[in-house]
Amino acid sequence: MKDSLKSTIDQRKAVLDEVKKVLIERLNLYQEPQDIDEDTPLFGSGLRLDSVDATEVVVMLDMSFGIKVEEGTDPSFMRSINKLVDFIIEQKYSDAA
Amino acid sequence: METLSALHEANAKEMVEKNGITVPQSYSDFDKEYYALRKNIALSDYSHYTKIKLEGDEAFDLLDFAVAGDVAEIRDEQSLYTVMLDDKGEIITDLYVMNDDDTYIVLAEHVDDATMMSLLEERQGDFEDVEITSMTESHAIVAIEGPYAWELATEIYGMDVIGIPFLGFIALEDEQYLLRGGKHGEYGFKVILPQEQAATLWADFEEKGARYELVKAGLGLHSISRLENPYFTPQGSGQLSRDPRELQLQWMVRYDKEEFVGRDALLEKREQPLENKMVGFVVEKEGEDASIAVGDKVVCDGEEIGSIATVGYSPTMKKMIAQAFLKADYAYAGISDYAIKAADGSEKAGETIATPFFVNHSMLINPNEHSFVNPDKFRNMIEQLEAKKAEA
Repeated sequence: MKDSLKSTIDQRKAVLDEVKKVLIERLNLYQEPQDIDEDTPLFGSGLRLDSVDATEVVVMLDMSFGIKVEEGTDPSFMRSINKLVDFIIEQKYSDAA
Repeated sequence: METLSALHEANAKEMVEKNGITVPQSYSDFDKEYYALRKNIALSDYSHYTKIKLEGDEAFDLLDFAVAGDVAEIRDEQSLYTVMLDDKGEIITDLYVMNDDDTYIVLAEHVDDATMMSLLEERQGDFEDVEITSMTESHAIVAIEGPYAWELATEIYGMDVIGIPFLGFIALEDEQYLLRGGKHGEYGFKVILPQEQAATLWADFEEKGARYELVKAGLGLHSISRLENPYFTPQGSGQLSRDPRELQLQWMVRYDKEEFVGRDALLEKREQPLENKMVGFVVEKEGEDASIAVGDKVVCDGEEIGSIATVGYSPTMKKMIAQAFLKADYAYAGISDYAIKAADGSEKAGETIATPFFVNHSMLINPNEHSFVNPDKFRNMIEQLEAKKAEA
């Protein structure tokens, strides 16, 4: 695996690991990190979060990643773990890239 | 009134046999049916679903042992979407388990009635106080699915429909159930009802659905809709793996449940590093490309890193999309270093992608604010925002 690809994957893995860890802590999820797949839905099915949990996710983005979600932001970033990670990478790293 | 199947035989374009039951494969043309599901309402017959009722003091215990999800999570008029595993921890089928006041109804699409009956009987063991009854022949399933399915459902079943949460249902009179759920990312309602009432309901939906531009549809369109919003299918991703970890379906399994078929094997596998994983893949170039097929290799700098499990053209994305079964070290979304090596030797550049592949139109519609037919309301969030901008 070439270095640039390894670096992209490592960055994503680091964000994924942090997201899973913080969600488990903040939402008291019973799962271990390896039990939560990246494409797991957050609401409806999957982790079956509710509207209170959605607020927690927004707080988590601020506290753990320094991302303030502005009013009117397309909420589809909360659709799955992977979508959340896409959003974090886009918000946090895209300007620097 | 004639039967629902007679109605289809006379009007559908193509019929197909699933689980020994004949239902429409298509009613008109693919695009028409597809866009009805994605933009308006598609009316379908899902009577091929196996439907089994479990009653008795030990119905819960049997089901909780038989499926990998936690049946204790579902209260009256709630359902669970989960999987049934074999003793190797591999998926036999996905299924819905509905709790109707401690009578349970199982709906399964990928096994026939006889197979599901024997799977339940095999798992029954000492759970003697359970009466298992097939509803497969006696009941049909008529479904309306699409961004405005909720609005049509309110016309027939009243405003309570709007309050039904995802995977919730209402037990109607005469052994009828209205279940909210679907495998496509849009609003969806399945009506489970006695066969003899199905044709009347179908006609009612058709008549009342005209102003929503409802389209009669077959099962054919789901080869794409279930790729766009990936769900377990034995004919698709299930051909390469039935392991919930590899398929990213661990959310359908409750590991901390004391006992269920497949648990020990799954827990053993869980201790091992994952070798392969299914991820979404979108081809960079727009348009249909018939040269890409299931089984094509996925490469990265000339190295083979996996293969294509399912592939098709997404009319919404206007691109070829796929589920790729990749070596776990490479199986992450947001990577644009990979390509599909087609049978003709050409390489199709693309990117791994978080699924579902796009934002479903239903996510832009709030039943409390929007409407397809009320001219005083906006049809969706985008129209609403545009109007706000124009006002400002």
